[in-house]
Amino acid sequence: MSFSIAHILFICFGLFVLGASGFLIRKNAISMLICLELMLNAVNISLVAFGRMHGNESGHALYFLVITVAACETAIALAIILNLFRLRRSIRLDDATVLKG
Amino acid sequence: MEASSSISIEMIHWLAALVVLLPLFGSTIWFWAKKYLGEKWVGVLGTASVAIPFIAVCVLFFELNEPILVNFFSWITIDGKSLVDFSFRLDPLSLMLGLIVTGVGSLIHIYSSGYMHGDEGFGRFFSYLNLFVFSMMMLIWSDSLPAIFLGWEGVGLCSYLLISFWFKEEANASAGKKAFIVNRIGDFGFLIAMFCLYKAFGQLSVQEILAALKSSSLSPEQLELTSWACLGLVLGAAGKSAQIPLFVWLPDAMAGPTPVSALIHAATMVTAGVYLACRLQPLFILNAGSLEILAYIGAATAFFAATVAVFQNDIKKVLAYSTISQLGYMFMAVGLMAPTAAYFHLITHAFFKALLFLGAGSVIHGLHHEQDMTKMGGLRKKMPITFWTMTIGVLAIAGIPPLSGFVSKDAVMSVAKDSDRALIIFFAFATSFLTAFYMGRLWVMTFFGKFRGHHEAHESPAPMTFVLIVLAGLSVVGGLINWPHFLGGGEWLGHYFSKVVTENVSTSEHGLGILIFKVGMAVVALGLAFWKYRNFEGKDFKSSAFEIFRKKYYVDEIYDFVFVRNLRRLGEFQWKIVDQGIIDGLLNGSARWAQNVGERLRRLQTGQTQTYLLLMWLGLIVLLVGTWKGR
Amino acid sequence: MDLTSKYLLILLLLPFISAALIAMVSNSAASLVSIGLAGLFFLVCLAGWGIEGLEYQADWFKPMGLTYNMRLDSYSYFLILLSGLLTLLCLFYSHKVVQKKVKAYHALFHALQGTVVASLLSNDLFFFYVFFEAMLIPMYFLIGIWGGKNRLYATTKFFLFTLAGSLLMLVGLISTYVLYFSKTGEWSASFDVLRIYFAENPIPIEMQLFMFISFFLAFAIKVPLFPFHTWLPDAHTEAPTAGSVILAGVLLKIGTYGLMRFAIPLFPDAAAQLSTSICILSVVGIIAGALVAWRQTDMKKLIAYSSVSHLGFVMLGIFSLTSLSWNGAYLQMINHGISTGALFFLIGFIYDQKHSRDIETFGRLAKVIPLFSLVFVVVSLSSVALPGTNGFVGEFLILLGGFQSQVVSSSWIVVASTGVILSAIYMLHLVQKLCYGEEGINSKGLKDLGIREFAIYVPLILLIFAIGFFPSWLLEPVSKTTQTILGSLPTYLR
Repeated sequence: MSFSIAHILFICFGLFVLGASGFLIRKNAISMLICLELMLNAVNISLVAFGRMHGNESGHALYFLVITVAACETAIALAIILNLFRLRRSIRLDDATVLKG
Repeated sequence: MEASSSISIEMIHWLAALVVLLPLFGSTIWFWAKKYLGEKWVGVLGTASVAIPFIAVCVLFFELNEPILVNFFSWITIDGKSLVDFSFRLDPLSLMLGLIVTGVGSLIHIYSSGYMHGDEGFGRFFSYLNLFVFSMMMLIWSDSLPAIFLGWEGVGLCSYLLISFWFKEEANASAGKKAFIVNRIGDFGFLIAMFCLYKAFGQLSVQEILAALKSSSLSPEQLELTSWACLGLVLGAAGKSAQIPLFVWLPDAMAGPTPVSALIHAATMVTAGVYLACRLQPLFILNAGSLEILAYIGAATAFFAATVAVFQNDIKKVLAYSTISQLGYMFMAVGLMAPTAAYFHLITHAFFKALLFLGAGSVIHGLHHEQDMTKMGGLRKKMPITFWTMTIGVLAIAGIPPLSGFVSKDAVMSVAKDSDRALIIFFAFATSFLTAFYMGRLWVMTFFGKFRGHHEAHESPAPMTFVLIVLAGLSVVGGLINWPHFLGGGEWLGHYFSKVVTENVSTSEHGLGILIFKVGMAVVALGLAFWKYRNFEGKDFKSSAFEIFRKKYYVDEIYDFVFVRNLRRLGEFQWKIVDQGIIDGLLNGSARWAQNVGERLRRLQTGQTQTYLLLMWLGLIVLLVGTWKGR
Repeated sequence: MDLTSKYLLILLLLPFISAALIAMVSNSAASLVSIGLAGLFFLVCLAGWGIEGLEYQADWFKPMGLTYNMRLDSYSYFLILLSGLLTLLCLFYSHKVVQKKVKAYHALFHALQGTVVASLLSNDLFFFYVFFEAMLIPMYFLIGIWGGKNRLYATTKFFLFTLAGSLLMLVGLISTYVLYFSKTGEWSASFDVLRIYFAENPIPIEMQLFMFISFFLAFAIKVPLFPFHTWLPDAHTEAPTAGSVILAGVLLKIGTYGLMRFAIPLFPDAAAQLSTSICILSVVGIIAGALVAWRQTDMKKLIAYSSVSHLGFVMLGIFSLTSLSWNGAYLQMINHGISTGALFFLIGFIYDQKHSRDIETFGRLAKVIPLFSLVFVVVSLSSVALPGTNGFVGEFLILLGGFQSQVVSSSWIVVASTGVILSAIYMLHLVQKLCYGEEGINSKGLKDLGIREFAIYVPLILLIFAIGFFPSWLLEPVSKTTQTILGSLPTYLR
């Protein structure tokens, strides 16, 4: 069985959906972060796959860019969650509804 | 053509201006100057403000041989053209009435200085009286309709101020208010007449309008407008002269001090309607229907007012209804195209009605403000001058020759008889009988029999009795100004007016028979009254069947029920239901709706990050699908 | 420096500069400084007597044709003069009566006057619009801070209602603006340019109707015309005395002024088509206003409804579209400012002493405070249009002109004339309740008019009789402007 791009994309899609639904369902902030990373990784894999498809290495390059940005963003997110914990003694996002209308 | 007047135009201007402006000036002074000048001087100077104009009017009366227009300045000028002028037309009609107004007015000013002695509003009273004379002169002398209207409403204003003079009583204030408002209904008619005339002729000057009527033939549109104008004028005259249907203010107006009733509500203001009808006679002649209406209103009013007068116990109310009745006579005469007879009766009526009112005032003053005749009686010994002068007044109004009242009433009744209209003849003659009866009743109840009152009665002071005597004299000789042909006279007034008014010349012969019938009727009525009331005990017309007459046919109650109450309800409805209910309801409702929508939309903001994210996803999906489809 | 050419600029800026100056002084001196500045402004206004057709052109944003064009003709001039006089009298009245936030009060008053003067002078539609809306802001604060018990509801209602109308006008304004651009390729909001263009190239009637109605609604709410009047009783009742005076005396007139100056000349065919309907609304306003006024027990509400009735006459005069009635309508605008302003001053005088507006609690004031009663009766007579007072000349000309109208049937004028009966009813009712009869609980201990009060009433009473007997000084310049404006309308309308 030869791998085609479609197989990889299905995997990416599956991972992405898992990540997205997990993101929407989970209450724990860290869990949401993990799901967020899952979504990002899914997209990254698809980037590499496309790169392979076109035959150049731009997919790989972009992958590194995205990973870097993801790491920065994760750091900031963790800092926010830490502050939230200090404020609310809880990292369940259900409790952070100050902006409720 | 007789020679023109022997005094210069300038002099005429000055005199005319003096006549009008001196009372106006006076009115601004007396109400505050009494504190500094004292009652006596206010009385003297206040009277002079009207007596000097009287002399001026006399001069003008004797010197002017032809009608003349005295122009002062333009009141309202638009686009360079004068719309309304302050100008006076001095002709027989206006000069004659000017004499009456200033003459009788001066007498009443003299009387008031006695009657109002000691009243804290003495100065205010003279101010209002002077203001009234100013307004009345503006009314009779002005040539431009809005300037006449200024006088017209001015006298209405003075009437309001003077009726509610003793304003501490709520009833007096209400009576004044009623007078003003009912008059305003008439004024509304006058306004409409002005608008119609302007639209028809482009003019507001009486002289120009009458000239236009004389000269060319009128288009149908103009004719229609003049007929509406006549109706408006009839309404206005009915309001001012207290005819059906707008007479209801006059009886209530008796709440004012008696000199006011004499001057305004007997001698002068109420005659304004008759005067205007005479002045604008050519207009009415074009619309024979309006003349008919005038005649019938006059006759009917005369009769019905007389029936009510029979049953009144307040001396002033009897005289009030009597005034309404006599004014009806004048209206009837005008409507039957006999303005000289109407005017003649106007003049004599001014004399004897003022006399009667002032005499009644003397009685009221002497009895310390008692007005109920059932509490009077036997006063002829205690108040002799009043008694004798009132007697002359009563005889005059009853129509006993050779007093003035007889001559003028005879003229009016002849006209009525000539009209060949059964209803009018009946009303005229029946009224004459009733008049003699109720005046006799008044006379006997007041002056004969036992005294039924409480206080000691005394004769009135000199200023008052002096005036009574003068007016009595005038009531006796007043008939001479138009002594009829068939009794050997020259009918001076008729000649005097012949240049300015059109008459139905009487064709029927004055038989001695009809004369005896009229006089006999009066004598019988007087005798009946004397016989019935000479031993009057205090209760009259006990049967409740007479209530309808006493209550003037419940006209006031009907007006209140039909008009006043419903207007009130309309106001309430408009306020509560339309303004507050519908309009504000819509406004406040829309505000509440906005608030509600806001409440609902607010639920979208849950504060939960995930809700926002979900919405973002859904939005993204919709966009993607949209772009996919759009491709 | 040529003062005449800068005169308009001085008129425009002086009130705003005054407001700024007042904001800088201390609270205790603010009142006197403000009165002085108001007096100065009034003198500056008087200096312009007799000047006709002064113009000022300056660009605001040239590429879009927005300008600061201003023009002074007698329509603007006399209203500005009235505003100057009334503001001076109002501030004079408020001295020592207004105790809290004195600085802010006076500064706001001057700012209000500035916006009024600006909208009266403007000859550019957007310029007019900006200041037409801006007027609302100082008024909002004046009522909201220094007003009566229910002031927040009243002022919010006033603000939102008028604003809603103004926004509608903005729609009409923009559509006119864009229409001009689409037709000529140039942007201009200058009134003269637009009017001349649309006179030669008439707008199709459906579009004209739409634009006219949008303008009309804004002004109708301001006037106020029935049924858009319900903000008026609340606003007048809750406003402080001086606020009521300036609101009734000046602000309401901007509505009628806008109609005469902008809406009708720009869209004459629409105006002619709608004139009968608007006249019917005016007549309803006259009668309904009078009847409701009769039933009021709150003095200020009574006078407020009487304003609705009086301005119904003005609207009737405007939409009869004859020169006589326009002259009468403009005259009545000035007259109403004087008479109703005086009435509000008088009522405010007893309200500020007893803090009650209930007419049932007063009585026999003719004995307790006779001078007050005298002035009150005189002013009431002016309100009732007694000949000899200013009210008569205005009303008479309106009705006389209306009767000749080509676009409105004279039967409506006849119905409107019954207003003279109704106005006598409610006004004399008020006079009787206050001045005659029994003494009420609030009648005792009232102070009569003093020198300060006389300084306020004497000019107003003098004006009442001056205009009543010698109206030419006002009518002559006004009729010239009426000729100019009506002359620009299509011939079938004159």
